[in-house]
Amino acid sequence: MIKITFSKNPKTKRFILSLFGKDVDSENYIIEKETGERVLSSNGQEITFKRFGGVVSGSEIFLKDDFVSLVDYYENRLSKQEG
Amino acid sequence: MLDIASKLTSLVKNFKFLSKLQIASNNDNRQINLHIHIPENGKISKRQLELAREQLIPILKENKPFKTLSEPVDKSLKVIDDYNEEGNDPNLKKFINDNLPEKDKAIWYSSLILRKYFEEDKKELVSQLKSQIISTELDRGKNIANLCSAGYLESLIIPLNSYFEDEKIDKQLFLEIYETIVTEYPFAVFVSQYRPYTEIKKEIIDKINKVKKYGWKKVSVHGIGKENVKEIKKLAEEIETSCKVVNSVDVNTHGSKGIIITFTFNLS
Repeated sequence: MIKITFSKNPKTKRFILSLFGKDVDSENYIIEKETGERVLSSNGQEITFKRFGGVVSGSEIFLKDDFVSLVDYYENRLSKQEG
Repeated sequence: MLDIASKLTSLVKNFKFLSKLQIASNNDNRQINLHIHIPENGKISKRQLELAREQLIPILKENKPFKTLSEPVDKSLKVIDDYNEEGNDPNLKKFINDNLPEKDKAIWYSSLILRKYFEEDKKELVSQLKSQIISTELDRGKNIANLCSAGYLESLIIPLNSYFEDEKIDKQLFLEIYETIVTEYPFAVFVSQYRPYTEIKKEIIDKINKVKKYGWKKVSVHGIGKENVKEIKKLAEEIETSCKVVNSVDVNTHGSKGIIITFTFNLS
């Protein structure tokens, strides 16, 4: 498996988003570059550029960087594996 | 996997902002770690970024699954993974999953992790995690984290739920009481260095007067750290002297650096 880690400074984050065809709108939310539609996190919330934490591929799950969101993602992923 | 490794090695050679290429293998699991850092100072040209992107995208498309994580997220996921790998608190997690509101589950799970590292005296990690919980979940997050650290999940919420189940009382009533516990925690006061002494004293007395009406005869005051412990002991003396309804004051330690003082009082 490939694991990419990245610095959380703006230029690096923008580069990472561009790898997935994403951009940032005027209100600083992450969007699909082609459609302008806002991207949702693993728990169904819009993600600001500031809170962007990463992407897990497969189904391209976008992560917010706060601890509670990450715990939520982890628990949901676990329960899907066990289910 | 060797082919990917050689492609990525070539990329790292050509583009300075790609680095730390490591190939780790653990039995059948091989992981390639790549780090990306693009400095803000503009030394990497747009053309370079475009070239790197053109080469990196197909590699990623051909090699799913992969993870792309900011450094802080990578660390947080490791903390969560370590906690779960050790099989901590399975019964508590099951209780939370089966009985508590959906919107609170992740906060409780986070608080259990916070509590574990508090008990291991990992101060810096605890401080970071608690700040994160409060910054995104605000007062509700702070309350649940405090209630969890103080053991109220086990000592109050679980027994309360069991009582309601045994007596076949409507679950909705449990959830209403749970909501009161989480938003007001009427029987507990948490002391922090940021709160003025007079405010804490008022909260203790107000809560004593409030919970008496509902037949509850204890209020506990929780604090961690030398200064908070000193303050709570001073408060306990003052309240025991001035508040006529207080019958007794019990002092217990909480972890290695904390204190819980419980005021028991008359209901009349």
